[in-house]
Amino acid sequence: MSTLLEARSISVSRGGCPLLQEATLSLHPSDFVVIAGPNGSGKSTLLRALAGIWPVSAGEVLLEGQPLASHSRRQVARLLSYVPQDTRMDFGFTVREIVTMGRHPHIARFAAETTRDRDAIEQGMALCDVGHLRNRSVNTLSGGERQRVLIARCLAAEPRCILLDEPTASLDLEHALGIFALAQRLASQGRAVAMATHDLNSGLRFAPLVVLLSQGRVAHSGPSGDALPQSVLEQVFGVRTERLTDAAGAPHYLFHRKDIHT
Amino acid sequence: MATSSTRLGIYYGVIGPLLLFSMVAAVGIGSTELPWETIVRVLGAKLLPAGWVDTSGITKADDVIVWMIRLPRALVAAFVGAGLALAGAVMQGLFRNPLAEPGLAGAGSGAVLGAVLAFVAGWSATNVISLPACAIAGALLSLLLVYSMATRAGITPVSTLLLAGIAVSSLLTAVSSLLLSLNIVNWQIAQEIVFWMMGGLESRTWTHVWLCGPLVALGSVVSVFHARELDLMQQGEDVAAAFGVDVESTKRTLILLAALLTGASVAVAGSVAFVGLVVPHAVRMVLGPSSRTLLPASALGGAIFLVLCDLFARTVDPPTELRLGVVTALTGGPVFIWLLMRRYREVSA
Repeated sequence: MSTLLEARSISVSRGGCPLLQEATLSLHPSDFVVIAGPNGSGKSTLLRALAGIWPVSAGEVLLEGQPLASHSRRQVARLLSYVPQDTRMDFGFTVREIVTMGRHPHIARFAAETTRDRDAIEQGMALCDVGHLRNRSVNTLSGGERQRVLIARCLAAEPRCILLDEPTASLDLEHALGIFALAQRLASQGRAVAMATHDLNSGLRFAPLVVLLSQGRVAHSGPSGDALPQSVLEQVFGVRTERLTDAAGAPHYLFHRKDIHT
Repeated sequence: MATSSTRLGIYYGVIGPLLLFSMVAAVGIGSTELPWETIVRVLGAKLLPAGWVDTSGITKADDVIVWMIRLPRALVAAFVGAGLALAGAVMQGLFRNPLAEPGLAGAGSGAVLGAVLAFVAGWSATNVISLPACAIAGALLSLLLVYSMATRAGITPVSTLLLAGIAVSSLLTAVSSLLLSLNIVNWQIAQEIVFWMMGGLESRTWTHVWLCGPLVALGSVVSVFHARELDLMQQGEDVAAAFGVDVESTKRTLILLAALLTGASVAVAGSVAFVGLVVPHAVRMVLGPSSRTLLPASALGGAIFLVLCDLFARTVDPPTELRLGVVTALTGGPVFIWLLMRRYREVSA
């Protein structure tokens, strides 16, 4: 299968500080990858570099086989979409207006919205189940609704690849599971999805692939199921783990402080 | 969608006739009472082909009052109001802050300093263009200073831009005040400077209309064509970049645009407070934040607001004229305080 988005041994530094070193990752159509790791391990940096928002200091990012830098920002935005962690919004845009913004890379400066654009906007809202909120101000939405609106906005761009930075960070259990299921569905429809998360158990359950980051490096990359070595988890997160198996036979983990033995 | 397009229809249904009404009032009302028929005939004689309008009975004085005094003044007021409101709407979007004002990045204080220099050097007395030219040059130079201070390796964070803008603004304002105090013994120059700092539109001519009109028209067109970028910039720069916006070049274009509009306004009207702050904010509360509606609606709202403020300033206590900046501040100030309190309540809630 052809590779959609590929990071080849990329490093990122900001203000002289190395945030990511020699990270390698590839995303194919229908892939769903969770990116996990402790705070400051480079999850957001990796996503920003993959989206071309932060430049890489070494290595390269390839989008459909071509260096990211050889594409214009608009071309990149049509192929891959990124939802940052910060969802602060000061002005009360409506849901429809927010989702419409996702269409920006497809609309030329002097052009108006076409039927094609409207269809993409409607489809994005329908997939994320926010159509009924279209005239609501985003400031009045719950955290879960707002996150779905942001994903709808990125779907309006009709990207082949979606990068989500901790979309479940401030959500309750039900809404967080809803976002994981949505990401899984988007991948099953042929898109490549990468999601950074701290919710390791849900991530491992919904996503077939996992990348673990530690201190700016990829510590492990592979399937999320039984093959994931417990020792790697313990090393990366600095905790002791206990592996359980749920009714469906999938692995789950309990985490304990290293220095406390129960 | 229905509700927002209905609101838009109502807004323009009210604001369009209101602009026309305020312009008519500004041309029709003044210290010399002129019959409406005379006013219409003067305007008709100027605007329609020769011979279409009967000009008998129109005196030279009627012609001067309507065509050379009141109409240019009303037009300058409309353009300045539109320009400041537009610049304010752009800056509020760019800085993601509803309390941002047009001159925030140094352009306002730079333009005032440019004008003060023109007064002190005596250029303003010799050539009608020199004062506006100095004001616009001052606005652009101080923006350049602020922008280069805030830029590192091709990246200009808006938070740094804001801080640099505040620092440079207070510095330039201090220089203006210094020049004023050094010239306080020369009462004529000092009076001109003081009046300039309070804004006003007395004895504006068609030259002033041509100085600010084209710039404001250009600014309206350019800003409306950047409406989608401006909306995305309000979502954060990462989001804007992710959806294909060239963040740094958009920022440069829009800040330059706001500085030009601010400079052009100060150039012909002195410093007029609160229009750029209050008008876009009020329009946003009615029509929502989407730049495609906000920008043109703010421009129209600003035009009406300033035409009416100027009309009030020159008719409330003739022959004394109130300073325009005083009138806008006296009406805009309380609104601003109310906005601040509301925001404070929102934050603490």
